[in-house]
Amino acid sequence: MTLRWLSVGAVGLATASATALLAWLVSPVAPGVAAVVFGFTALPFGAMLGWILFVAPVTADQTYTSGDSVESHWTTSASSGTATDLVTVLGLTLAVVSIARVDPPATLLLTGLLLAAFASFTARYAFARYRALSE
Amino acid sequence: MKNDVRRRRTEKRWSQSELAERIDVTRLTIISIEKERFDPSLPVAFRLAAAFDCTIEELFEPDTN
Repeated sequence: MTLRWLSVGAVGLATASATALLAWLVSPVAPGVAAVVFGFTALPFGAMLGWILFVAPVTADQTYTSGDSVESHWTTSASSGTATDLVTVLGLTLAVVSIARVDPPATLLLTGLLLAAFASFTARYAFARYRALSE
Repeated sequence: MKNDVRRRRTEKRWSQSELAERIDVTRLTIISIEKERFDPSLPVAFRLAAAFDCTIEELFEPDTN
């Protein structure tokens, strides 16, 4: 188990180092500061990735990830619906942008798309859960 | 799909959590099955039947409509 936790640290540090290096290479201003900030920011996410890869398989309750549970059924159903929703949102956004002849920044569009995906998944999962558990 | 899970569980005086633990699923899965809002997978159906010492056909009945 100690080896697994050491692996978590290693993955965390590797992720942070890779992110810091990338920030140092591409940052137009203050690459050193950018490398430190991005490196520290990426560290917890790297550690989480390491936990998922090395610790969770032997400690987390596997029931919740197995295809047998109703939660898995709700997740699959919500994901499928979210994919459809995203295609609809993309189509409508494209239509609006084309007709209005506006050129919104890509960051704004991608953030909106991500938020739409989160909202759609959350709403669909919550609805499926409510429908299954209500009287 | 109709099922007889709730009656058999109460007959054995098991809680939903206890049954869930016995067949290695979550309590919400048991609740959904009992409410007939979720049709379990074949492995779960087999585990349920084994827990109640009956056959799948005795436990589940297909919807006629």
